[in-house]
Amino acid sequence: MSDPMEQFKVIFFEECSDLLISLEEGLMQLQAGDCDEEVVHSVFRAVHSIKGGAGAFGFDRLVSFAHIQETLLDDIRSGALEVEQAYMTVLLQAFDILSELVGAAQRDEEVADDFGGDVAKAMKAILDQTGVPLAEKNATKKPDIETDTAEKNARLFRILFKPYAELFQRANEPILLIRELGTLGDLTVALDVSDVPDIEEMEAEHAYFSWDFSLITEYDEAAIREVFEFVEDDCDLQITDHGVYLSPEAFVEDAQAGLFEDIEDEPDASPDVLKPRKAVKPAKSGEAVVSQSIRVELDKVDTLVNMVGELVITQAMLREQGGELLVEQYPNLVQGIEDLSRHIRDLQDCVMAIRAQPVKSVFSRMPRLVRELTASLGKKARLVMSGEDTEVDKTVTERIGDPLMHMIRNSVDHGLEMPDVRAKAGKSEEGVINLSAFHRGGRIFIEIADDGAGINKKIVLEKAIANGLVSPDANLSDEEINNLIFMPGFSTAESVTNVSGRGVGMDVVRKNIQSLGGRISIRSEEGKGSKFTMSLPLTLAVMDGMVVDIGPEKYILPLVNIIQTLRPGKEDVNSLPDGRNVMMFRGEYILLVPLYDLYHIDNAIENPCEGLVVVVEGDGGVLMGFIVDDLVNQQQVVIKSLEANYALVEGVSGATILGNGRVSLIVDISTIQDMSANQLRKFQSASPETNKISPQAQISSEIH
Amino acid sequence: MTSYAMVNSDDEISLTLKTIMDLTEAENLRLTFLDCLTKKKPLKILAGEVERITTPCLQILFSLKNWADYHNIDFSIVDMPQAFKTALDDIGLEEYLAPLEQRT
Amino acid sequence: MKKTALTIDDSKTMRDMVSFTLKNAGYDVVEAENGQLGLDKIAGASFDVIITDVNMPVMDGITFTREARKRAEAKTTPILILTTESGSDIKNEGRSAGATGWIVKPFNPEKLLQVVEKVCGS
Repeated sequence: MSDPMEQFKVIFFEECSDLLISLEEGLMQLQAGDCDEEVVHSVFRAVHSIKGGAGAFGFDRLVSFAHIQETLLDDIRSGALEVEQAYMTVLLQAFDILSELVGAAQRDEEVADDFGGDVAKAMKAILDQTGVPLAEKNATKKPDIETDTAEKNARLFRILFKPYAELFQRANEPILLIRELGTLGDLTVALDVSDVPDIEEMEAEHAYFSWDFSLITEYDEAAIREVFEFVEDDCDLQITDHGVYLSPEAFVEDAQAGLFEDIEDEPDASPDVLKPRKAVKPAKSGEAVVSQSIRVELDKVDTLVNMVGELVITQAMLREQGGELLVEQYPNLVQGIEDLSRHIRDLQDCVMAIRAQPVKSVFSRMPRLVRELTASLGKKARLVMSGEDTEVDKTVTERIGDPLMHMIRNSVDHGLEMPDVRAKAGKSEEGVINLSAFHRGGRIFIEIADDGAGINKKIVLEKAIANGLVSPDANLSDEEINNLIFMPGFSTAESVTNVSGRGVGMDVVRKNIQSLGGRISIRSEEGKGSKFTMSLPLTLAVMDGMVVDIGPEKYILPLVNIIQTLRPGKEDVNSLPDGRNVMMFRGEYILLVPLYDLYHIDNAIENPCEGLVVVVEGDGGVLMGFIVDDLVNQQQVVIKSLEANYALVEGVSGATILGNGRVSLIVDISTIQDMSANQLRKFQSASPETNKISPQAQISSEIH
Repeated sequence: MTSYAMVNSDDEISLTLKTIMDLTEAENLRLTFLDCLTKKKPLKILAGEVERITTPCLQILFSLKNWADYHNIDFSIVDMPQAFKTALDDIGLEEYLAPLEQRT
Repeated sequence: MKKTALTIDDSKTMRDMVSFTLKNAGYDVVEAENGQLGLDKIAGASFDVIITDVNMPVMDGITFTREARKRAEAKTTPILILTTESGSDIKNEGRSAGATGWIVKPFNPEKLLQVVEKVCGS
């Protein structure tokens, strides 16, 4: 069986991550001036808990650092220290170090000896001011009875144990003490009953018995005292070492020498005066109700989601079959299938909700990132977050972290100006980055807005032209220029600074987001700032789709991208020099995409005027018209990964199983958009006179 | 507080101790004993059910014995289970109470 | 009859460790996340030993001990408080509140068992 401690370590680190999140929140609240007592308490408790657990697993570095932090926080919460802003900076730095130490412990990594030394010194300096000494971490431990180095010779101890009347009040029981004493060696018990009053006058809960023990033991006096450690303030305890125990004869001699002389009554040792200390205040009543929750392993939830997904597919099949039954013949069965469908949809919603988590868990990493970036770049910035409670499936939250971090890096690095530049421009030295999340139209939107310099269109255009992405005489709108940063090949080595420099350009970010079924765009105004807008599906597991016929096959189009479906008239369709077609839609021409060609399907309707055109919106608001035979129906589709079951296929984002039991592929709009653009470029490289621009603009310029 | 099972016959009173005789039982035991003692009959204490007995109740048992001795009232403890005997032994009460033991 | 223990700690790691150790030693273990929930567990049920942390939200360990001692079910139950080395004040406070003894953190499972047996018998 594996070491159970390993299992506890996993739980401990999970707990640490929760604790670190709430610790950081609390510290930021304090920094913002919210010195609510409960906040201080919870911050203290978080560090205390981390330290406690760390100690249990022997993470010494973590323990010793946390210890200093805990002491400082303890002083703050006991009122010995007032919360000053200067302290908050130190505490936040300490938080960063603590996080690192936790991470290192989790990864089982060594940490440099001086790591965190500066911050530790700073904290100690604060503590020294108050004159409260940092308690010795290595207080002398009481020796374990079992591991005591036994003396070679047994010694005889006489132990007088006289409990005070109240000994029983703390649930201490002499018999247990006596038994424990007996484990140290040979014990002889002499009970003294002289203090027991008449039964009429007895206080049933008072202690009256006392004892005179003789113990022959190889242990030392400390071990004996330890037996009585919990009651030492509730009794008279006298331990006398009568030397090495040699033999019964010798014992008798000693007895004659006055071993059992009367012990004079000593004045009662006054009980320890309780040191003056602020009473530990219980939490304020009226505190938020602790919500009930349990930890569930993610595997179990994933299995549940998958099984419900299968249920949905089976239900769809039943529905399809059932649809062919005559209602009159089998009214109950048809009704039953209907009810089942409804219940399963509800079940699916509930199950998906289990896995939905607030984006807070991803957002929470950002403040620290901003702190690090601003520190290393010499800039000043404040991160303002909103909508952290917006929920989205775990499959999404675990994949948006990186893209978000890259975008925030981008904002701080390229977007925000240096403090003096900002001041000259009449802005506040401290830049603001807004990170927000909200639901809209069945998707989740995440926006990152900064009040920096905005995108310098001139530079961007120059770079794009230099990298061959755009023709020198292309006529692009402002928005199109801004969105050039997403194009593959845009970012070069020069745009990669030390900080952003993990080799990621915005094109990779966009690819990441696209692979989640998401979209990203940017709006920017020079001198004012930039705003990235990212939209993502609420889950990667389920999608609303439009089932379409293409030849004998059925394909799925994401419903969210569909603008309109129509059958164009001949006059609305035109041809491009390269043989491709375009269609007039709402005043402009959009590219027609022959899916049958893309997917190599025979026997499909090729003439858009005989089939249908589904107008979809791709990235950056680009519209395209997909040519299909016919619409079948709208339904919720359980997404099965093609990659996991087969391989990555360009132009297809996943698959599902329809009610008729057949596999249906889901059309990947973003990559088709890219593929179209690439095809256009390939064609253009063969005919240099045509312009190298985005399909939309290309089309517009072609037609007009 | 539940009361003790008692049989009050002409020759004696017999009283059955409970399974757990700990601090919370102590006062109840004391009052029960006092009650018995006023009847001035021989007192037989049935210990057969005791699984755990701690110092407070043992103190009271001892005090009861004292009183019985002083007033010349017969007093015995019967059916002591091993746990009871061990407790008496550990606490050092054996030499005082053991002679009182009888077996039915 | 199996002995029962109540462990009160807001840290799941700690609760798990105490539970695991005591269960292995033959105890039935009940858990609570804070002192208030600990009091709820005590109501109408008695334990052979209670192990409580000190720093917890809603109700801390000292307050719990004080309250528990007022209740018949826990008046005579050994209560152990978990304390850190620097907390000798805590030991005194615990004592005044009625705690039977303490366990020093960090502790290993053997130590826990040793102290539990000390106040509870084996």
